[in-house]
Amino acid sequence: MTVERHPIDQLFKDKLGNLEKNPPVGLMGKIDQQIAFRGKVRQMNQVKAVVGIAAAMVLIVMAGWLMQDQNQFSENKVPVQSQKEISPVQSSPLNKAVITSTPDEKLLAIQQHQATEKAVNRASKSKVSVTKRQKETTSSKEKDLLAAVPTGKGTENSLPQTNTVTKEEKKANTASNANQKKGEPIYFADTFNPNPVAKNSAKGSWRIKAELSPMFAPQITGGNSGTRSRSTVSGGMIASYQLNKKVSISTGIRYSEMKQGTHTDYTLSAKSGITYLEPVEKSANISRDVSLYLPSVSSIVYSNGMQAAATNVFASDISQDFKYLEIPVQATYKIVDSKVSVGVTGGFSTNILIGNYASITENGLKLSKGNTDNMRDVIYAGSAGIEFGYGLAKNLMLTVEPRLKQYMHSVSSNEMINFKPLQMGIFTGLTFSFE
Amino acid sequence: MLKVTHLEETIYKCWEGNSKAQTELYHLFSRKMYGVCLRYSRDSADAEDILQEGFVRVFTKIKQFEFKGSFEGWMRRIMVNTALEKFRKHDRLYPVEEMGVYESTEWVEETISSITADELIKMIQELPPRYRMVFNLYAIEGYSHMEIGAMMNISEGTSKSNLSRARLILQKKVTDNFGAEKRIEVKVI
Repeated sequence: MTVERHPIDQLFKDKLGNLEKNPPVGLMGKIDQQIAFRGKVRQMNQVKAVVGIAAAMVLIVMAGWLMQDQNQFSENKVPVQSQKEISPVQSSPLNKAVITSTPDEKLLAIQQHQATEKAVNRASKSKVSVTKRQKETTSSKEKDLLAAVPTGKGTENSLPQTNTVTKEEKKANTASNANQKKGEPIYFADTFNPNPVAKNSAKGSWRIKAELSPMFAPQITGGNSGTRSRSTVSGGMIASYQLNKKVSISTGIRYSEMKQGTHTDYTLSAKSGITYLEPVEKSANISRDVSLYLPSVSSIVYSNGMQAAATNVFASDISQDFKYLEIPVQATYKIVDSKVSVGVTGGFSTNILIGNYASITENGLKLSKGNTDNMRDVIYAGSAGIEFGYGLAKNLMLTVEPRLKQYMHSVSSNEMINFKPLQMGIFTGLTFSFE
Repeated sequence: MLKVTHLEETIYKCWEGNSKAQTELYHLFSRKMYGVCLRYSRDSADAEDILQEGFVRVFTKIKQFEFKGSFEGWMRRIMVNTALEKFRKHDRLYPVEEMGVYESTEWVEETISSITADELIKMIQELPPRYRMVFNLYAIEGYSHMEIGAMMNISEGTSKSNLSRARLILQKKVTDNFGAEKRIEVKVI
């Protein structure tokens, strides 16, 4: 069916449908110039993007370096026990010593344990006194600077723990900050505030944080057995209350685990510390690498009540898994409080044992499973970390916190065992704040 | 006549930014495309702007041509789209002359044959921008009112109304300038 066209339409279609007209001379040159210009603009944009990314990376690295430098004191203050301090008593050789020890060797182990505890106590006391002395030094230095520096911009909250801070003291503190930059190692993190501008913090505000982290622990090896920690997961919900612009306290509930494995090339003695709750269970596809550390070895009792003979357990992988419910109480001191915040955290936690599993795997077959004897039901731990926060929204913040957790006393109640694990995690969390 | 294979070769060279190929392509199609641009513009300077921007887009987006249809048709659509974009930026808020129509007309063959393309172009360029766009798209490009409505972000009814009024204006111009057997009556409201 042919649609009749309007005569006007037909007229214009016929006359103009295939119209050809010579364009202005030199237009192609303008087109070339415009294409070249747009290419340059595109290249410039790419260069700008690359330069921007590079600049951002440099800034991040610089900021990280500065933060590390400024937090050095606060990190040093944290009474975290180094692996070297605890290794003499908690490492694998001790356990082997316990397994096959003579009375003299046990006595030596106890003496080492007691000596270590005394050393830790002395170190703590020493740190407290040093802290006091340095605070006094800081105070006297501020007074000196007050006299020496007549003018300068004041900063707020640079001495958050002092309630009666005068303007002159603030000026002096600013000046002291400048001196500190020149390399004078004077201040602790709790008296030195490199970024006094507080933008996001609100006094009296509450925060709820959900956090999760993989947990790692130093590897322990020794003798003819290899003991190593396995990475675990820790996470929970934390509620915090903002005491002032700088300090907040928090508590909550957190789940944590401790897993270790021991590959033993020797025969365990009859007193091995694992109570087998079930008869031999064979299960394929279990790697020999599934293993862990054996903190308490005192006896082997089969589920039928029979004690194991020395020849009943051969070289094998022993796995131990301890699950804890952790109730932390910790404080956070903010060093930088802006879009990106930085704070130092520290505190203690009560850890309640809620799971105790052990198994022996031999030649890829899980032979037995049970639990570890003499585990404490409740143990305490200290933790310290650096919290980096990034404001996603008005009330929502993403946090990343590298944190160390040091158990304050042995996880085993056996006096012969002094195993105080050190764990490290990088907690990632989302914090929701409200009034 | 240009061989298709040669055109394809030229297009492929344009992919690589070959300036000679671009110049060749420009000389091949610039006259036709300029004719298109003249219809959609208010004057020759406006048409030159559209042609320049259209060819820049052709050369920068030539890799998007998939050889599935006529290259000339593809270029033509780019020119029309460039003109539409220019219209959206600059002309869409221009007031549209409201008209009432009371009588149609009849044409005389001699009148039609005596009208030149330049004269018709001038008539189109004198139309209000929206009328000009709708008339071009419907009467010459062959788009439906639905398609025009989508392209110009107007309703189908508005497109029909604009076309009708464009026709009446053009009819009046034709009959006024070149004589017709029966004049139409157009009343400006």
